[in-house]
Amino acid sequence: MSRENGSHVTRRQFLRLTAALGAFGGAQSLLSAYGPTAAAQQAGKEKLSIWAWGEAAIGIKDSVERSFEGKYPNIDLELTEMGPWDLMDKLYASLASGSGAPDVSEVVRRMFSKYGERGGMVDLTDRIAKYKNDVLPTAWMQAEFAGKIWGGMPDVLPGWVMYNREVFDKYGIKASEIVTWDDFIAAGKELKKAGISILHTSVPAGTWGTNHWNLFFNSRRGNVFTPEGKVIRNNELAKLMFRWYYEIQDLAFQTPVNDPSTWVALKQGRLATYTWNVPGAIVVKKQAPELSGKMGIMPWPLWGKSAPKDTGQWGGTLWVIPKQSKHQEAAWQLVEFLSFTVEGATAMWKGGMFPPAYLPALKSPSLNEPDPYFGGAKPFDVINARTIPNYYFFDWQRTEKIIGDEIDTMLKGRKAPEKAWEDAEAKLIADLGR
Amino acid sequence: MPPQPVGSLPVNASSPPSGPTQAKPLAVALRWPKRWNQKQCAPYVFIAPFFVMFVVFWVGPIVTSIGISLTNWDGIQAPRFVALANYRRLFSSPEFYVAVQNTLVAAVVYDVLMVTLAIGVAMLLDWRHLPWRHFFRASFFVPVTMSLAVVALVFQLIYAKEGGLLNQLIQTVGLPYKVDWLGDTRIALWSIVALRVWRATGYYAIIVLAGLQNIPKELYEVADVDGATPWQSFYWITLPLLKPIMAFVVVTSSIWALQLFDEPWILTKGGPINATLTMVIHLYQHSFQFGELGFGAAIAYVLTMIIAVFSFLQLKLFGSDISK
Repeated sequence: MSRENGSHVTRRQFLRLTAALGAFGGAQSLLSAYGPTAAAQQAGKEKLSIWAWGEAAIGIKDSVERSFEGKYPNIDLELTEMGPWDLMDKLYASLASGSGAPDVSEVVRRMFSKYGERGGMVDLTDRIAKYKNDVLPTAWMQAEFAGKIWGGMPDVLPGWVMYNREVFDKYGIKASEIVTWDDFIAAGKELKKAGISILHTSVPAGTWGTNHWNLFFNSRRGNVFTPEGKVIRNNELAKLMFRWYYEIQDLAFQTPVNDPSTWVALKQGRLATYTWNVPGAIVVKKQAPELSGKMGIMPWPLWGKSAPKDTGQWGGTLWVIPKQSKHQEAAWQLVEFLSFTVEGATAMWKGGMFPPAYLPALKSPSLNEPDPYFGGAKPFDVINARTIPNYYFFDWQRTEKIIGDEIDTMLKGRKAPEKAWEDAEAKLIADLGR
Repeated sequence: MPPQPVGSLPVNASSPPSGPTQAKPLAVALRWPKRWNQKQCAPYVFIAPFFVMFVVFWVGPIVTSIGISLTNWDGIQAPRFVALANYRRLFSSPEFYVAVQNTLVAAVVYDVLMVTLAIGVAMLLDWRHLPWRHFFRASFFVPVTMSLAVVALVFQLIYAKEGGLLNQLIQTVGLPYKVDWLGDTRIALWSIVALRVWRATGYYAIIVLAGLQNIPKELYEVADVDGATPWQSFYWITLPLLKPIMAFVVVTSSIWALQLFDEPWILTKGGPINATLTMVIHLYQHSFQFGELGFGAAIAYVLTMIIAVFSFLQLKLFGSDISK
């Protein structure tokens, strides 16, 4: 290397340049990692990281953040939004690795036994116990494992029927006259003559789609597990509901959960109803905005004229605090706000149409407002027309796969519904050891 | 002179010399040994960061996961040693064999289809009479650059049983079929393979194209003069000279194929009835969804072994020509 030639870089110059670049990069990383925190700390604020998905994230951004930070000016919320399954898996991975978990996380309640039975979250029993009488029992028991409460239970997701009023009117079907599932099926047979499906079913059921069958099963007071987590043996009701689900396929529009063709069919009037959980309305509103004012809502049909006025449930969410959190006190304030205050519960209703599990919130006038999308109907009139039986979720990710595979096998005609349930039950007992 | 150990040197440089060899000052003695001088040392210093990262983030987890596969670790509670129980359970699980079968069948079909198409596309792109050559080269590469989420959504619309593009085409030509591309257990895996082939062909075609452009044109001219047909030129010149590139394409695409996860996970979650269950989906479900990280580590090890055997066989198949 020639020193005289200015175009060459000496080894020393190269090392200096490398060191300078390294120092610059390091400083940048430090600034990006700690800059905002340092700024928040300078302002005397505590930074709280939250993981949430879809409707809950909308609720936090649109309403909760403002009202919570108004109530707790020393806490800054930092929301990270991701899909529910992505979130559940990332949360589990961060608990396993011992780092990376947020201060507060939303989790799918029906999947919670994985955490509830193993730990990893802050035990909130002492803090939450005082709210027991203010929370819907079905939501409460899904957060309790071995007498301990692991998270705030802000909502419950009951089933209802969203229907296309234009289609109903065109074929002379009156929603008010559909009281039982027999009435619903009779209407479905009329619509079928015109090539219209009266309901959508999740086919292939696979994993997620199992919960659609579950909605029907739960509304008939069915359960897969006992409250203690044992698989119910010789579950005749489950067998019966497999048969019912099999037979109703003749009237159904079969697509996977959230498949785009479902929305197309709903818009084109080839699908007359969407029998789903209440927050599913947010998805319908997003996917079919042109149906605004043309859709109606009605309560979940009954299993007989004199049957209990029940609906099924999809589960719900829980707000949990991972043990890794360094801001557990502030995290609890957020969990309490979201789960056990009228402001928090109504904010989540406005943002994501999550019906609150916190009973005092149900008296809030903001929950009784008419919804223009559903032709001015009041959602809570429909929701309050039904009660929700208890439902016990254990090892649900595995359970829904086992049941879903058997539903698919049954719907392919490879097994009779009764045999399919017997096989599902045997596999649940063998694989889960429950 | 070999360097002396530091401890044998006098700390005080002004100490009187002892014996015939003069002691060196400490600063001088602490310099790099002559046989390990800066020049020799520098390359190792420069590549050290890679090796440190490699050991910490690759070798470490690989070794650790051997240990994890011998436990019942759920990720949250303390692990308990279960010896080979996870492997016994794995080999007695019918789902595991379904996953292995799906993975291998999909990998072989994907490889054959994709490599054949990649060669065809590369030759087409290399054809000097092809108009808009640069446009086509860019076009074939586009699928690689697209986000998988977008691809999945587009393919959901193409494959939809009700009103999907493919079924509409079938009905347009007057056939009374409505195929359930992702819901029929006999078809779902092939739908996924087709999507994979569509995504990967452009990428590998560009690699093959680079190989084609390295083949001396004189060889074809000589063959032409000797009266060789285009097929003979392809068989006796193109294919043999593409062998090293083909080995790279086949081995890397096979490894990718054996790790099939994204597309079936987004489109079918491994269903219906395990028709698109692959080994990595099986691993993922057990590790993160069912909370069985020990069992998941055992699946990962078996998958690694399968990939190693597969790659070894492919390299054997391509023979020693690769190194030439």
